[in-house]
Amino acid sequence: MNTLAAVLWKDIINELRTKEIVLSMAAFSVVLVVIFNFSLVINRDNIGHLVPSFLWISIIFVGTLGLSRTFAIEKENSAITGILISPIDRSMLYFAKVLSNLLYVLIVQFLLLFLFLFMFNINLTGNILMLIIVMVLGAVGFSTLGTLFSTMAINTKLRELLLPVILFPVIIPVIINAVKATSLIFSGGGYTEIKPFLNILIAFDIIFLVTSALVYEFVVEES
Amino acid sequence: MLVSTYAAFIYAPTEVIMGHIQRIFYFHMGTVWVATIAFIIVFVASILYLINGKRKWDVLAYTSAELGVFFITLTIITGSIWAKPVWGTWWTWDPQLTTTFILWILYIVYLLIRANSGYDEKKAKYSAVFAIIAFIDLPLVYISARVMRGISPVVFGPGGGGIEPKMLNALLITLVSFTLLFILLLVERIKIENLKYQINKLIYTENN
Repeated sequence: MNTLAAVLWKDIINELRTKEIVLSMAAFSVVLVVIFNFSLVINRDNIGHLVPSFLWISIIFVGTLGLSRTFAIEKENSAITGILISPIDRSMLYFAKVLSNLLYVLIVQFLLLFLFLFMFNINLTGNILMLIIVMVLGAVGFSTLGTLFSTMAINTKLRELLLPVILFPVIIPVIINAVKATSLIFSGGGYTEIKPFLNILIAFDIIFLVTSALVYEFVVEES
Repeated sequence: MLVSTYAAFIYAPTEVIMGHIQRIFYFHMGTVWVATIAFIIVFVASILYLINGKRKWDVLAYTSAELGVFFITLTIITGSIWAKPVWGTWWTWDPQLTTTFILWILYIVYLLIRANSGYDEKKAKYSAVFAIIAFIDLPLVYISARVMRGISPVVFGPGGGGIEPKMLNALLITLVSFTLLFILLLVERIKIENLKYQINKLIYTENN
């Protein structure tokens, strides 16, 4: 637990001092929403279908940007060697990295949600609590595998290029369920309608949190 | 073994009494069956590799994944050819097809990771980790695709419910022959991989 807090705290302090990850993610989010605004024709009829899918497309694009940065920072001055030399549990290191990635994703996620609501002039009538739950579950699913794969991708020849290629096909269940649940919420669906999607999201999060923590040592020690 | 494989290839289609299009179904079943075995082997071999780190498990996983991709590609192609006259379309986003398609992408990505990871041990570990994640991911993809499209009936098996005894025979022969073909290819492929390894070792000792 101590190691988890220490590594997480290190990441947060680092980010607070440089502000590079969250700021560039935020800037990219704004640009994306502006581009969507120009390229999409949104009216009352298609708003419920288009906005959730574009919201989640933006989230995974912006999220991938942040993911590839968090581990690149460790590589820059061989900081990762220092972490690996210290006798800490690799799964704790993994959880710490997931939490810091999750934090960044959550920040930009809600920024993106706000931007979409603001720029497309949407009145959010659905259940806001449910929307928050869906978004957090989606972000957790994205961060669990994102952390594992960004550690892998950064150590390959292709570097950041490989990350979206390996991450996107695997997180398809997250995307499907999150988009579906979000669009149901936007169109005023209740808990019973959203429940099957929520269940799959929860299952995905738990399964991959456990599996990734188990296999993380093999990935991180080959860096 | 080669003889038996070839005999079954030629024998199986002659046994068929249904329309010509339906014949491709045997190869469709044969390839998907073999691909399934291949991906299960990849999964198990990857776990074993991560547990004891022996090179042979990595070789088995890699060769099996390669063959799996080859056979699943054939499955998709034969399935499309079969679906065009029967369903009237090359492709639908039915849960089964979606899952197969994602499966195909996942194992191509697996080969991509292998091609770009650098030295042997890293390559082996990264691809083993990815293989495990990908295999666990597939049921989730299937469930998600089902929930997304509503509960659609599983369109599978030859039309008309029951299966003719002769067709069953042909199907069994194709399955056996494809399995034998797979084992043959796998053994040969592992031999090539081992030879490659030995050559690399020789080059390495030459250079030092």
